[in-house]
Amino acid sequence: MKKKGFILIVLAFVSTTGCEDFLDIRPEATVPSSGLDYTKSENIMLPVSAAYAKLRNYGAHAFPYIGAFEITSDNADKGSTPEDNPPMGELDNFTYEPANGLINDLWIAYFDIVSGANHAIHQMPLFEAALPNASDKLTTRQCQAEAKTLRAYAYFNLTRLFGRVPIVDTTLSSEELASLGQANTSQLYDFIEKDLAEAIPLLPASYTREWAGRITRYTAMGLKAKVHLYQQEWDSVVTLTGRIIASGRYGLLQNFRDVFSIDGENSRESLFEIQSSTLGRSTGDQTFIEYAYVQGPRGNNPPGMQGWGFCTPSQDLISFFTARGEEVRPATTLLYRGTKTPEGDSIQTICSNPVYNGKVYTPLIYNKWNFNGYGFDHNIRILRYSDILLMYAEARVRGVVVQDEAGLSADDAVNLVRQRAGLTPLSGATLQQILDERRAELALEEDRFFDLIRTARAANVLSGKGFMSGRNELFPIPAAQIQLNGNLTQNQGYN
Amino acid sequence: MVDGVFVDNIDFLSSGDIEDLTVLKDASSAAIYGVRAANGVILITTKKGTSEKPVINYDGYFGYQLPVNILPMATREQYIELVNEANINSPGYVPREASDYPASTDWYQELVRPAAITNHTLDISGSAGKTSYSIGSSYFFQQGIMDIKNDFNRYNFRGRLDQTVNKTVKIGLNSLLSKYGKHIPNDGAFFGAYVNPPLYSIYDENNTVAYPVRFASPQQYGFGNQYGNPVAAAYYYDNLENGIQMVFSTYAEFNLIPDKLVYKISYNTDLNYYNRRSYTPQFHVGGSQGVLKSSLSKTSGNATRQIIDNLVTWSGSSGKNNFSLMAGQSTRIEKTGFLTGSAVDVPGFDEQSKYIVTGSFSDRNATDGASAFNGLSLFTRATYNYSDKYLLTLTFRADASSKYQQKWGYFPSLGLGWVISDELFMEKWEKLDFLKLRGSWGLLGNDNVPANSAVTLGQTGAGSSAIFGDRLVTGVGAQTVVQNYLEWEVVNEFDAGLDFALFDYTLSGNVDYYYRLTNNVVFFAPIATGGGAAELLGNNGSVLNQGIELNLTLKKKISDFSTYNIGLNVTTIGNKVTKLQGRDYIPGALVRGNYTTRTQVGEPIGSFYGFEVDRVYESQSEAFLDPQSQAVKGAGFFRYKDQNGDEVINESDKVFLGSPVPWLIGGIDLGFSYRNFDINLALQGQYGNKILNAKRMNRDVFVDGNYDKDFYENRWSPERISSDYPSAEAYNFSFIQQSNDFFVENGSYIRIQNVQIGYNIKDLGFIPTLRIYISAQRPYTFFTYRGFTPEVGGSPISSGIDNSVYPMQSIYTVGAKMSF
Repeated sequence: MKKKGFILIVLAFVSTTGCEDFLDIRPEATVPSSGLDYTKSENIMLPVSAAYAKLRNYGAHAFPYIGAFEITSDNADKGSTPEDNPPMGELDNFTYEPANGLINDLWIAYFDIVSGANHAIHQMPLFEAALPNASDKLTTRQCQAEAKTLRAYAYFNLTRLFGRVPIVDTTLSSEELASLGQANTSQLYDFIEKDLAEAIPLLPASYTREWAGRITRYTAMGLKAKVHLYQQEWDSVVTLTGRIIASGRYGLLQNFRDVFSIDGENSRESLFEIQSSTLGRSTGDQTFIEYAYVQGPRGNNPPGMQGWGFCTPSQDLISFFTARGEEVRPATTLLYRGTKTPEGDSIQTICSNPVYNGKVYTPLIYNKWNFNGYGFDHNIRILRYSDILLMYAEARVRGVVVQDEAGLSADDAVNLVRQRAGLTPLSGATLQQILDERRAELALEEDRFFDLIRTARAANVLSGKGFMSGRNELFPIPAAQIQLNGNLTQNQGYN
Repeated sequence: MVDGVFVDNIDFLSSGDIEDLTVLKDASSAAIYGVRAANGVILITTKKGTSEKPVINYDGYFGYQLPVNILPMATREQYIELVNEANINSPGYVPREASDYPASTDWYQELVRPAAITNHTLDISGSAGKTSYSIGSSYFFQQGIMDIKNDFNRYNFRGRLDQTVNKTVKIGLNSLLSKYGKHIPNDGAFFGAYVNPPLYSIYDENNTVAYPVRFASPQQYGFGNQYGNPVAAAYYYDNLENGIQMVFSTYAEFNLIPDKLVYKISYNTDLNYYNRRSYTPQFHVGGSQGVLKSSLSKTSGNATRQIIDNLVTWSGSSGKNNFSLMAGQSTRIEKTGFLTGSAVDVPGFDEQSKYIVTGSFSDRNATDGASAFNGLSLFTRATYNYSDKYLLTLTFRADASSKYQQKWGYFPSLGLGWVISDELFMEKWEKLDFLKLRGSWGLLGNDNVPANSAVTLGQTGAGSSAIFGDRLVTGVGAQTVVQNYLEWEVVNEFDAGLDFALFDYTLSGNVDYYYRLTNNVVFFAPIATGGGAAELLGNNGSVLNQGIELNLTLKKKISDFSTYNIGLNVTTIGNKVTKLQGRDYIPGALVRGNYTTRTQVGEPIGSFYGFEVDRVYESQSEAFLDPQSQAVKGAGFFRYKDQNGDEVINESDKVFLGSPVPWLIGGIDLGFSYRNFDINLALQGQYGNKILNAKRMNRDVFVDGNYDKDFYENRWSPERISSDYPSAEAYNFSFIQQSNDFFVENGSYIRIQNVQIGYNIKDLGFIPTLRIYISAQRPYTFFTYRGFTPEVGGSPISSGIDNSVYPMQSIYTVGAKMSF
């Protein structure tokens, strides 16, 4: 009996000797982050796809996005009911403070895109080193260029929003993140331009239809043109937009309404579009973004035709269209209650607001989500060809004389946009006419507010809404971010 | 720890199953229980047989639970008054009229009910020769207080057998099988009751979009989709869960050298299996309250925990010297897992039709998940005592856990005792029956931390996959922040105390000083943005808890028929952070764009941090003339205190506003018996902690939501100048609705925990002993906090943040205990 007992003890101790494996277990139901099989070319896309997925972040491209980029402008009102969502009301009337949650959401969301892009950027060289095949190596460089474009895009929005933010381009410790200082606007633009300049030569001119939505050479060029536009570097604007125009790959759709339809997604007019889709399902994981939903007709029926009703077209915008004698663009841009759309949906009189953003209108036949799926399949148009033409025209009007590949005049470019809108051609277009054309063409597409800032018109145009010069050109650094990183300093005008 | 098995809670036990309950707090006595005992251990022993004659026990009660302390909310007229005041300056706002709305509904009253509760335990135990046994069963049934099908039932079967095989071998087996089922209510309905305006009725025949039941909808009256009819929310919720829990332990003990060397091997396991199903019928109430298609989701899951222990104990004595030496080894394996499947368009005729296979073929989804961790320990303990007067215990542990990157931790501890009352020189102190001086010190590792969380994981699934050309393209992402190397959280504990008894044990008690320094404390801390993560698990620093603990019991016989007893326990807690790793402070608990707590050296962990309210501006002109600059000023708005005197209110004017950790917790027990009657009263309470009333701070989303009555009655208005409440208008501003000492409230409370009146009968025919009693549990709680309950939990750095809207319950029961 004694012996048996000792044998048991011995067995017990022996059973614990393989303890390194026993104690070193990986979390269940996960994959390792590094440790992707870098020798397999089909894995290259994994981190890049994850970086793109971050574009669907609610903060970056849904409610906070429409608030900061459009509701702040003279094109839109808060919408919904007067008392609904005070933080959004604060964006509408410029009473927001550093603790406004929507502003914090924007910061977090764009830095999340930066993080996703950084991950992809740093994974690509590992694939490149492990893959022997030259075409695979090329793919890794192209994918890295896509990720750099995403990072540049996120930083462009961060820069427009906050002016001064930290540059994060690698994996850091939490202590390092908490002590980063801010780069100033010109350092940020240098960083953005460097990413885009490196990306452009590596990116393909186009993809096959099944890859619709990926970043092309012209996406990066268009973004870079816009970055130069914001720095008043007109020569570069002309050169880049001229190359896009001269490529012949882009053009305006004949019918303005088609641009914003489901069929018109990823069309020849689109340079950058955030993909949102229910993938034909009615429940399950979220593969869409609620960009259209938050702007959909409030209180409408049936439920699939109903949204939150934010970002409603302002009277100022309606009058602006009327004064210009426009018919084509307002018919698509303005979705009035008590009307029936050409596609056959009723915007009922019980809706809370007289008019909604018609550019996000999504017919009921596409809204099959269980429940309230208004516009879940509606992509977000970030950069359209008409923007390219108008940037080109503006730079020309501002006196750029350099030759470019397109070789158009300002009038040529702006009249392409006007013609499609059913307007008479301009001759000797003025800067104001180009800027007005921008407003009419890109209304409610999250361009207007920062267009007013970059052209120093905001103080005039938005003073009635509460805009204060020397303060509201930039949003405040979110209070929560300053609480997390004591080295961040607040923007001017926010204490 | 139930019969040697570590469990997370004892919900599965019936009070009648419990024989004994012991609390171990100091490092030396808890040391042997290892890595789950660093914060103390509660040992529970279930019943076992002792007497030759089989004893049958019955213990049962019936009762009712009543919802209490329901926070009164504003009525229709009060709400209209407030909402009109709140929007007095909103452009485009048209003042509302109470008469335009059909009802004044108290949503809480519509949702609650008195609920039944009953429990019956029957067991038999005894011993025969070398065998002792105990077998029991119990039934428990409890309704929920929400007025909807909502209940919990549990059947327990318990058996314990100890068998002495021969001189050398003893074996034992103990098992508990608990089978439960519950209909789970929609707790969200209570939240709905808290925020929904009181303006509309439950049903409305004119709400033609509503089906199958004509519920009224807040959207009929222009309210946003954040509101939904609370009663409908409860009605259309159809969730249930059933499961089985088994706690099983077995051991074999070998007396290798009689009374000298014992070897014991034991295997303990806790197995849980559960099934959940949630069903939502096709319905619509209004707005987004509804679904186009019915849906069903089913989850099967399990959690298992296994511990294998080997212990060798050698004990000996020589004269008055007694010593023992023990060596042991323990292996722990814990796993959980679940599999969920879902479908839509599932017909809801009856339970038999609620299967995924009856649903639509498209839109079927599946997901799963799991967790696992392992642990390993080696430990040894030596004890020595001289004549049971001088006592010494030395323990040394080596613990390893898969949860930590630093796999192994080494933890010594030491315990000393001196029974002073046994000394000769104490003989003259006749009144003193017992006096013992204790001291202990030890290090204990704690592995009750999130498993395997300090590693970078690939982020998979739809959220990490791009869409191109209307297809989902698989992606794998990852955080881009360096993960912390996780080391053992170690409690360094010193305890010194006295146990005493006086006057023939009339007065007894103990007093202790404790000092617990938790080093490398592990929790998730928010980190600065940029690494793709909002928070990171790490060893964040050191937290000290110290204080005095006092327990006194007075038992006195007044006459032959009557006795009384008074018990008192008081613990003081001095909590402060003594060290932080790599940063000056850790913000916690993000509420409306601001972190509301701050963990900083020298302050209690997770202290509330924000503005101090100086006063409320009485008039527009006073606000205008005040040179102090702050984001919003006006009559009825807070004037925050300018802490640094620069006349600008900003981040640097925030101060510590108190701690969620109480200074003092305590309880009082009073008992009195006269002949066969007895009465007992237990009070319990805490003092000095603060609560952040976060549910009042949701007016960014629920801007036109209902108000609590306290706010209605005390708000600032031109007619009623308040010095501490804001106006209804100011109340909606985020500048007002941030962490400040209006929202940080006193959390002290005293509760009547239990009152029981009993009557004992002896030798009533065939029933040798019978006790009948009536009792009230938690009949009343005294507190000033403006919430449903002053008991608010949380995580280390975001504790006391109250969002709870679930009413407390009092339980009134009638019961009987008998044994044959």
